[in-house]
Amino acid sequence: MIIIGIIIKRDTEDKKTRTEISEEIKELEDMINYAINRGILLPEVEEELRKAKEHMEVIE
Amino acid sequence: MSKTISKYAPAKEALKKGKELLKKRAQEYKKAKGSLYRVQEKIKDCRVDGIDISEFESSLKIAEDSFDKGDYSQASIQTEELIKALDNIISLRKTALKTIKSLKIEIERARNDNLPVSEDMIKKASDSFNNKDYDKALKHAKIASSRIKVIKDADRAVEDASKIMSTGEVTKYLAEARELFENKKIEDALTKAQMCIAEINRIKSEENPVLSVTLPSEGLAGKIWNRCYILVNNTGKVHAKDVHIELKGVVEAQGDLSIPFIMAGGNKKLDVALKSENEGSLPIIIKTSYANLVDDERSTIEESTWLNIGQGVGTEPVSDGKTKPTEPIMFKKEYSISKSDAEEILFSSVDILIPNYLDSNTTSEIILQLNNDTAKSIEDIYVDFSILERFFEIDGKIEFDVLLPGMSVKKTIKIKSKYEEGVFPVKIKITGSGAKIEREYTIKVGGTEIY
Repeated sequence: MIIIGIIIKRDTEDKKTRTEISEEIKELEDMINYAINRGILLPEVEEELRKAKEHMEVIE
Repeated sequence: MSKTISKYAPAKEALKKGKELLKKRAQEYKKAKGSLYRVQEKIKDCRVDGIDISEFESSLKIAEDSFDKGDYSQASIQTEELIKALDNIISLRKTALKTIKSLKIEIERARNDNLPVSEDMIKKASDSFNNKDYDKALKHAKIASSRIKVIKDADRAVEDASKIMSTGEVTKYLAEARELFENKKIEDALTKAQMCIAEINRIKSEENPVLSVTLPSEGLAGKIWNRCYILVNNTGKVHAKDVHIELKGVVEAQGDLSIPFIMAGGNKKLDVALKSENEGSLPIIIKTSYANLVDDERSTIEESTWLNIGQGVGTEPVSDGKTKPTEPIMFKKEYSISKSDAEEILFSSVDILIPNYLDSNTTSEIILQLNNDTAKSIEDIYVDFSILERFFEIDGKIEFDVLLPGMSVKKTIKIKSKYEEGVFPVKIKITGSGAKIEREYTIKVGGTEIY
């Protein structure tokens, strides 16, 4: 019973973390688009966003 | 749990870094954008002021390219440097313009003061300014300004010096400086003007009044009071003040033996009475003390001389016990200005405020104002009210030893009619430095007041 409990809890936390990261990725994407629309170039930021997305794809 | 977190750690780390970079980039962008805006505004201002900005256009292009490429920090650095350079040229232009404007005013003022200046002095500065070489314009304007200043300083130094010393020699230097200036021999003019100032300073620090006292050589009788003049000469280059004369020996003196002021090269006479119980040639000592007008330092000199007292010459006692003066032994006084100059100065300097109507038995005032706006001094100023005295009682007298350049003085005397009613034409005579002017007035006393 105890083991099952832990696994269920882990799955819940894992899902929560993925959701949070997805939201953060979306937020950063929005900010990048906002800046690009105003002519601000952010190549380094885009690179970090790409890395984050890549990690998430590997995990999934 | 720690395993779950570590799985997402690289993504979280990348997001965190991305956000930090975004913040930093946003700041860099904002700064570069602001700087570019400022530099563009400055360039607009420069164009309005007619400043040539062609040399800065390529720098602006480089900064704009950096910005367009997204290199905001580099764009900021390049733009700030450009702003600094533009600020420098704007400030230089402003200073040059201000200096040239001041120079124009200085030239105008100097011209009003009869200084030999011309528009040529400003030409080099103006030309450089019009050619947009502000650095050179400023340099020329400063040179011209300093040249005017030297002449002005010399002029002012001579004017100030005239209050404390004889300015004969220094005035000569100044006149030469002016002449050279007029002939555009600027450097020589400046040298002369500096010599003028140096000579003034030398006289101030090295010279003293040189006083000599002359007693009447004849015409004095023994055992009685003899009215006579004692002449005090100042042959030095500096004016003397607070002069006191004391005679020691077998002679007595009565009268005021003090002189408030004797100008350099000038003299003053003391109207005194001398008496000795002895007759013949008598040795006496003349003690003269005085102060140097430059530094107030007092000096005392004593000299031995002889006084000739002869029998039967001079005054005779009269019945009331007082003495009747003989004709005083006169010394012809030499003034430092001509009679016509003195007359001209008196005309322009004297202002008399006199009532044209007086109630009988009331006292009124006559105000005399003297303003010497000329560069010359007038000495021995005396206002003669003798004609006025025929009809009015006068309380007070007006006399001044000297009216120095720039000096202003006011004196009031009181008058009261001797008659109940009448119309009195009066003359007031004013003398100074051997010249005389007259003013005529009509004063009505009693009856209906006239307006």
